[in-house]
Amino acid sequence: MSAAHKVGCRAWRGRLLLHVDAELPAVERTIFESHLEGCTLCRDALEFHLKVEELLHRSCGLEPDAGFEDRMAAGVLSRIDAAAREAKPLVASRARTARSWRFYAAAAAAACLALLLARGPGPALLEPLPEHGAASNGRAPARAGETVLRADAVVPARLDATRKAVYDALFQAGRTADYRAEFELRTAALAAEDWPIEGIVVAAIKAADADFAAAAIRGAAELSLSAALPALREAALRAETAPAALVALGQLAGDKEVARLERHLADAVLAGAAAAGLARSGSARGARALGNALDRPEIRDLALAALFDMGNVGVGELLRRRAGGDLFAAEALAARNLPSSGQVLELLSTSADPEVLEAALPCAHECGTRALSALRGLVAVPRVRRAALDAVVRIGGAAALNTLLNADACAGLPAGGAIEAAARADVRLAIVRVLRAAPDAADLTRSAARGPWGECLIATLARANGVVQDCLAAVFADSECRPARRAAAALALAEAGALDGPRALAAVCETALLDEDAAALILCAAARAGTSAEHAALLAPLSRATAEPLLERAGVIAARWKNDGIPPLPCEQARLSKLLAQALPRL
Amino acid sequence: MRTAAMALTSEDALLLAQARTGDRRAFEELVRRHARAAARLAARLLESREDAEDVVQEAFTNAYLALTSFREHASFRTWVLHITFNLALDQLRKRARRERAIGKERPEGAGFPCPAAGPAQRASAREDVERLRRALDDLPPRQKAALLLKVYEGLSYAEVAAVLGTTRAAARVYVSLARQSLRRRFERLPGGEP
Repeated sequence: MSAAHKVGCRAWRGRLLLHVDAELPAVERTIFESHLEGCTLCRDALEFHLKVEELLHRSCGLEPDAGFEDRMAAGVLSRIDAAAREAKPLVASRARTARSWRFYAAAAAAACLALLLARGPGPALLEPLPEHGAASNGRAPARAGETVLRADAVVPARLDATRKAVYDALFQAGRTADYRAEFELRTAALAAEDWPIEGIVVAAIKAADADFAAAAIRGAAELSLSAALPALREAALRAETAPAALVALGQLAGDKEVARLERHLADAVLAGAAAAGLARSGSARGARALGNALDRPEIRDLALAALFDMGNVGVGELLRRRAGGDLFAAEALAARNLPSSGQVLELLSTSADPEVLEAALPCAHECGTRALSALRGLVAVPRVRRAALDAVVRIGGAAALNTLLNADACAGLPAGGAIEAAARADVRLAIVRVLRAAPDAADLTRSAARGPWGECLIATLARANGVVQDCLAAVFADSECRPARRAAAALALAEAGALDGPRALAAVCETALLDEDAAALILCAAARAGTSAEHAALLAPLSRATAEPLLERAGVIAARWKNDGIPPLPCEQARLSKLLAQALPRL
Repeated sequence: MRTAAMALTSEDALLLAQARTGDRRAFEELVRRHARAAARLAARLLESREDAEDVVQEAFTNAYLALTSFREHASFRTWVLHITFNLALDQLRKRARRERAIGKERPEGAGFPCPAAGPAQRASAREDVERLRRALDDLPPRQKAALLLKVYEGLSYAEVAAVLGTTRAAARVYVSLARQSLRRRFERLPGGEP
């Protein structure tokens, strides 16, 4: 396989999936299909993807059984009915859940206020609580309204026991979603403005009731109550409250807590809560801890999700952990979860992982001109050269590419890649400069013309002059080049008066069976080049069945040029007619 | 094809309008139209027929309860798939936590049974399909869902993006990454290339 072919092959690999998705432009599709004929690597890759698609369609286990729709419709309607029946309680429950900790805190405040009013100064509120259930003293839970209105009626010998009873009652009140009771409790809580909310929340965190404590823990985190930290640390040691407490600790505390959470990552049960806590901490240390956890398969998903949840810091950590072949950074980039263009810039400047670079380069334009110096270095990396050049063109257009091509740093840049990038950017000066500097300009052009940007290249060369005519002639003479491109080169040469007419007629014969339109264009170019009827014998290799429609098509093209305002050369159509008249009897 | 798809969408819009007025038959028809696609997505992600059916029922129930908030920036189908995808992801997270806690292995043999396949057909297809399934199941959920929606459901990249709740460019990258990863993983599995 030639070096030029390999270049074309690499170029196509990037666009192969577009072909699989049938999104390749028609022109490129034709060229690609031609490339496939001679390239086993691309053909294998394409066949693999098509085979996978076929297997996916054949893959059993995806298609539900015949009665599926009936079952689903019945199930969904039944669920809708159930939801409708429970609509009011559902709404109430949602409202309670959303403000549960506030509700409990307010309720506790109201209850304590009522107790204080009824009982006067007593023991400190933060005394240890008895075991859950031990404090209700066999009394049935009171209704919420009753709790507030008849607080004096539930004053027992010990405050702790009373508080527990009140908690029980309030918990029941919450379950009944009695809005009136909640309203009264809130009103009472408002009256207790001097009551320290911290104390209430801390007491609630210490409560034996796990749901109650968890609600209070969430409340502490929401209020950023640093006063609750000791209670949270205790709660983190209790199995039933540990998950909520770890998350809250991550959010409220500093490095010391991050270290504690990091240790909990090793705990199979608490790893999720620890990861969530580390994510909430938003600290670089937390991100590093989660980054380290990526190496452990059992919590890798958790850590990855937590890092994404962390936003900038987490994704930054992901980008830093770009070990060879690691796709974390690529996935981060793919998900457009980029923290900033600075991260992309850092990645482009420091990464040596081609996979990550390939993922980052499409985002390079987000860095603007700051990325140009990094990109200049990347054009020397074969695997990402094309993407880097494309990024340069996208960011700075012709000027940036010119600068790049002039830079000493790019002295080693293969001219083929530069020509392709310049062709894509339609940078005539850059192409001409490269070609003038290259000793093998014709060869370079010939190989670049076979690539995906070949048409663009030829169109650019057609507007240039001087040295590029030799390059166009090389493209035109290349029998492996797509006929349409050879035709474009022939027309450009004919326009410049540099097309060899008899050679063009020979090219017509070479391309007639491959691409009738291209052959007709070359025939038109030959007519422009001054081919006379005497040369009609050169068309002899064609069969009559091939030549007749071809010559007819050439006549149509010539007439269309005239209609489109393209000035026909003197006697162009007459020459074609003569050719037709002379050639056909010989076939 | 385009005309058929547009007609389908306009029929959906009509059914949707009727469902919004409380017409349960219209919503039932929407369920019948789109449950199969949602189930395929959920089954592939969850690898369990029961869980998939549960998620699909929940997705349609949620959709019904939120019909008034549906702004029709996307089609009903895309919206339901989006809800299904999110519910399936939630389910996966819960399952991962549970399985980590009890050290449970991932179940073999996923999704719905294939009633059409006979023993001979199954035998010939089993090897490739099984290797593909294993390679596919190793993909991250988003990549797996993106590939499935693009290839199996035939959605456009814009629709895939709407289902995944991401941008079109990101959806394209997800599908591309999935295909590349799939090839690498597939070739590493015993049996080589398909």
